[in-house]
Amino acid sequence: MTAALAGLLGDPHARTVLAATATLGASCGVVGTLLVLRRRALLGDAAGHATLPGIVGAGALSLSLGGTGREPWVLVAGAALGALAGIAAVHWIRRATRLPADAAMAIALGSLFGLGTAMLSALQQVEGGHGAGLESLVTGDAATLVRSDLHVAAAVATASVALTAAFRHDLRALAFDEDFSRSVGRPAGRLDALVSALAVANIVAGMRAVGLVLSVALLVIPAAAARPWCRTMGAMTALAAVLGAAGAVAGTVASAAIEDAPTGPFVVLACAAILAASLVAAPRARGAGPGATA
Amino acid sequence: MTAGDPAVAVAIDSLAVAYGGRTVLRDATLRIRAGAMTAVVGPNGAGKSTLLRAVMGMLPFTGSVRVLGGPIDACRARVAYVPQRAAVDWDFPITVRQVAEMGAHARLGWFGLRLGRARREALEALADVGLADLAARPIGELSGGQQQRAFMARALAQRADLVLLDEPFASIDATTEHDLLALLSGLRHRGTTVVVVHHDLETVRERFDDAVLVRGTVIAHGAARDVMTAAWLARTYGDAPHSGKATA
Amino acid sequence: MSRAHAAIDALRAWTPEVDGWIIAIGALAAVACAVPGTLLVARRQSMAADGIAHAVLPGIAGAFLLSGTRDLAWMAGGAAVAAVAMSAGSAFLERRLRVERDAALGIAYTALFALGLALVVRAADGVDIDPSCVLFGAIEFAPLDRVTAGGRAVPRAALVIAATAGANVAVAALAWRPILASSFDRGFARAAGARPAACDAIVGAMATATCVACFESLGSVIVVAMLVVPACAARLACARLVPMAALAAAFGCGATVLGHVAACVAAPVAGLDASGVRELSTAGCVAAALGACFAGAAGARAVMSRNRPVDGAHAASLPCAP
Repeated sequence: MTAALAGLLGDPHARTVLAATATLGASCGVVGTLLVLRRRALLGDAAGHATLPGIVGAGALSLSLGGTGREPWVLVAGAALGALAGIAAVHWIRRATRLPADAAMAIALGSLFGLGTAMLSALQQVEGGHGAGLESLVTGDAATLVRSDLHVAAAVATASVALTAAFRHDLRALAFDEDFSRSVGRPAGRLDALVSALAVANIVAGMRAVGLVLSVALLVIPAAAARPWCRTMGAMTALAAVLGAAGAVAGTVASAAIEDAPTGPFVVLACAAILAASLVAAPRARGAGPGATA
Repeated sequence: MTAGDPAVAVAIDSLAVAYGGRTVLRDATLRIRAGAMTAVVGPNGAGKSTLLRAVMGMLPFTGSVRVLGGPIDACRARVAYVPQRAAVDWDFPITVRQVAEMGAHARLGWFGLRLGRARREALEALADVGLADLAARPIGELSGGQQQRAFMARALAQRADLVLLDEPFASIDATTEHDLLALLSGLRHRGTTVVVVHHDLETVRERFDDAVLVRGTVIAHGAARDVMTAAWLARTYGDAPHSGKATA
Repeated sequence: MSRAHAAIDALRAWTPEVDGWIIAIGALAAVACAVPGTLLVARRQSMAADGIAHAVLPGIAGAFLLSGTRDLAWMAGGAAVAAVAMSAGSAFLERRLRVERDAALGIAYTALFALGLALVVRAADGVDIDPSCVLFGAIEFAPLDRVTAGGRAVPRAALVIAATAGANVAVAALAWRPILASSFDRGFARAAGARPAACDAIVGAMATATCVACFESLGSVIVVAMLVVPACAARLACARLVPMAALAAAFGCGATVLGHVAACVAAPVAGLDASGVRELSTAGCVAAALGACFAGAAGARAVMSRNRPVDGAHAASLPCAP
């Protein structure tokens, strides 16, 4: 693997790939902290799976208009629309039926991914549609990243950090004590929409690198690994960003060392290894929170 | 007293609240005196918390609720609400000082422009509740009583004219209850209206000005010594088994 | 030729030996999923279905790498190990990290699923397991893989899924009282000696077996839809468990028929046959049909319900009585 690493660092394309995955990992760590503390971790999973019909729909539209079916901006727009549709579906199911949140997420996730599967099966049979590279979006292939992907990753990371910092007091109050936040008139709905939008932006920016099926892991695992070490949300956000970047880089390098390996699973396994190390080394949580059972 | 009277802090008329087809409160009409300390009393599931949440505009209801002379949205900065402790994630990575700062942010703004002032006021409020030494500790490391003090500090930092507390003394030690009651009395003497959902009938008689008895509606309200009588309490608590655990 | 004619021709081309078995396998899967799906939804463990469906992958791929065969015993054993690892891992993470149950589950199953995908890539030379098959399912090929049973050549998948469905019903019937008690009031169940943890294990085992039996045909993500969506739709209509399971099975069967019809006629109806599209993925269409039917049911319920929808955070959840 050292040879692979040396080779990677010597090659400008490899440097771009590593810079993009590190930026994405850090950005996902920041937004993942928000999701975990707001107890919305699996919303990212529903959004990630729901990107599939959006991506395939956008690819099909592009093909039918004479495009190649794989213009990055078209696919990104489709993925974002799909993810937003997934989140909207979760909200609608909860409002219309009062089913618990996890049931609503499982319904949206399974149905929309199924729809995407059906659409993908059609697109694969279209002349010129086969091999449109859409399959690699499911499990990720960081080797396909180019300079424009690095720019997208940097833009998403900047927006994630800037918005999280600007609204940190609001977001902290909402996540810690929603009743208080509402009582002083803070707009819970709009703040949650901000968190969802940041999650969607990160999932979409990361889909070429880690794939959409596993995108939730890059959001949640670094935040979880950071948690035992931190006393404040700010510290947790910073540590999760560092761990996310480390996991993304380690996973990318590992997958590059193995022929034909998709990047996503290896990034997730690297993050899981970081989490395991964090759990082994972390101090045990002190002070039983008696409030939890009051 | 009419709804627009400045001597009325909260005016509730024909309030009804239903969740999922079940009516929790109906036809509740009530005037809470400004500058008084009022206890809300009733069995579990009687709708006490619901009453407070309706006052805060945090759930849909029918009827009219006017707070400090207007709709709640016009005066949120002047109202402090302390939810039940069970509603909060105590494992959250947040320090005691940051909890108290939330109260200051509610008044000073949320974008960190007056960070120094928010911090100073938070520390003052923590000193008032006796938590100055623990300001840097994570909230989860505190005892239940200390956590309730931190919440009280947050309410103090809001410098509100009306303070609503939902069961602040549930499962906390006697010293904390005594200290917090003294703090609330101090607030009342400075002209703040205090409303507390409370269980201990003895304390209500001794320490509160007014009492509201609630069970699905307002059974009685008025001066604590007039309302906290055996006859009214029997009507509020009598044969209450079906109140069960349906806490609203 | 009009599009309607093309669609009818597509359906006329159905044969009992292929399309009949596809629908039969889907319907059997709907029945097999109805029992654990209903129980998971009633026990507020819907995302555990997602977790189990993803987590069985490394078990199956690992068993394949170790044994070199697709022998059912190996696969079921590997899947069971993986499912236990998922449950134990997420319980450990929930306790140790003090994160919500969903986050712990999400970490455990994405990590296991990632491991599974990595193993599948290693095993891909073995042809029989293919990453896209794992995710999307290949019910279209299920009728081709036959074994002889009772003198007839029957698709292996149909036999396996039918056996699983029978086992699920039998286990649920045998352990009915404790499962019922622990689904509604764990404290009471514990006091009455019903051992809720053991009931969790039984329901988890049923879900795991169902995922193993169905995942080759339906794919891992779509098994989740089959487990959760019919049960949730049934819960909108009834609050008792047995009718709920029966309705869920019927709902799943209906969506299977609808999904396979859609898979066959969508291309001609949309005029896509000109571009070379023949049939869509049946598993994907079944999941989409499940979602569409659920949306219809939920929309109808929302319209009929006179109650004003209460803000999500404070909404009383749907009542569910024994």
